[in-house]
Amino acid sequence: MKSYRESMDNLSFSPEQKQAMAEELLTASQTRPTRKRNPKRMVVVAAAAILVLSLGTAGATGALKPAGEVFAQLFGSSPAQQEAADRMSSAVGVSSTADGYTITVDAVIGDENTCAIVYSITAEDGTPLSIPGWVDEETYLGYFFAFSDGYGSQNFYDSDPNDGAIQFVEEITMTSGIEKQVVTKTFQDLSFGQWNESEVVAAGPWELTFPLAYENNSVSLQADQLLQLREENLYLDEVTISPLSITVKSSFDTIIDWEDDVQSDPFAEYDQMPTGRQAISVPLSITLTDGTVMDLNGNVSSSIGDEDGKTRCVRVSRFEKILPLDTIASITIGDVTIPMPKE
Amino acid sequence: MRPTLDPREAERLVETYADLILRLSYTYLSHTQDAQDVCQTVFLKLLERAPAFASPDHEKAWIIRTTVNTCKDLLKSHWRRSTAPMEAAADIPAPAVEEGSLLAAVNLLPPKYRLVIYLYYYEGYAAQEIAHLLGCSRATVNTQLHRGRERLKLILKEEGSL
Repeated sequence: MKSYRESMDNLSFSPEQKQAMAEELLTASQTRPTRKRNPKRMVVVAAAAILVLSLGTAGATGALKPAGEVFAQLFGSSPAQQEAADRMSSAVGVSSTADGYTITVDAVIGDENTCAIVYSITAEDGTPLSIPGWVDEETYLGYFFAFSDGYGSQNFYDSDPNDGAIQFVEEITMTSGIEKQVVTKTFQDLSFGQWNESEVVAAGPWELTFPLAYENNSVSLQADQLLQLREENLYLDEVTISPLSITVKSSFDTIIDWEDDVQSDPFAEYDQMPTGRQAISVPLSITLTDGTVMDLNGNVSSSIGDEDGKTRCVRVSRFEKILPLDTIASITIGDVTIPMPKE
Repeated sequence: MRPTLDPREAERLVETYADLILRLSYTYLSHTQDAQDVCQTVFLKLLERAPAFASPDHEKAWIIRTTVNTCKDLLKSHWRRSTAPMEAAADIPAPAVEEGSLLAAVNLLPPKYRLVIYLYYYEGYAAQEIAHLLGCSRATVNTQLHRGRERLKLILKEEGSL
């Protein structure tokens, strides 16, 4: 019996059909007008963004919240969490207005492999925006962007139902590392409704250029340990942890045949997975100083690739809430437990 | 004015994405009859909007989002018609669905569950990435994956496949 993957693999256009499509596409490109970008508008937006940044003015809502408060509301508001958020975040205050809506970058927070950016949206005519949320068990009504230049998820929320603005947080995880630099984000097609039935409220686009600058509070843990995966040894090369996430970098001492492994049966238990898939699925957990064990396997980004004669893996697990490092007793990766360093 | 498409670029786009669009269309619509139309619509939108992509992953994400939106529009237009036109025989045969197979079980799920299962298990996207692609929250994706898997287990158990 064919597997799901085999059935889908067999679903494809014939070479003749693809050739015909390519010819049609070529013909269409030669006859169809294309949308022009207005380079002047882009310069104006960039200049305005720089002006706002240099004067340190407030965002679209009229008052820029301290960055730590913005993220404490999302990721934990205990005094220790707020303190961690204060250290690792910075306020931004850059705005862009199009189609009657203003988007403002409120604040950024991050570490070596993850970051979060909070934006506010307001209507230029003062119409208060709100998010209905789950109106029944199956129906979620809210806002989202149909198109945006981003790599992470966008979750819309309302930090203050009385101020007429709504927010969205973009959470980004990059196993290759996040380069802190000036970034340009473009958002288009602000939509409202359910994800499978919605309407575009404003097309935009909104272009925001701002520095992705924050303090990295990651610490390195004692790695240099070995995990036994079937007949192969997986070496833990580097483990770093911040109050936002944990990154595990590991490698085999040779190149393994992983390409088929990572496409294997998604329903398999860990012990039944082939080696390559195990390498990017090694169970991760954290034990807190109060004895609580937190499973980190639900929010992980992994990558695998060959470099310098070895197959290397990176797993980044983002925490749901800010975890002050002094509340963590140890990390467990597979069957290896690494204690947190004592300060 | 944007230069016209290079023939090699047209071939690259079709070679890279036509099958992806076909599989997404089949997953969402449960048939392949409109797949070629969906393909052409997506590629024409790419020509019209001419977005600047930061990476191949970014380009692929755009293709996926546009395909899903095109399929949604197609469903809406079908619903609005008072009579459905007789469909011509499909140029691309839909995959043979063996009774009791995982594909047969997936096809019994609602479209939104089929879509996240396809993106998660076949395309290998993480829940967070799927949320970004579909413009919903990660919690929604996790819920749909979980419910989809639970329904699949139930279907397969009832059919004696588990």
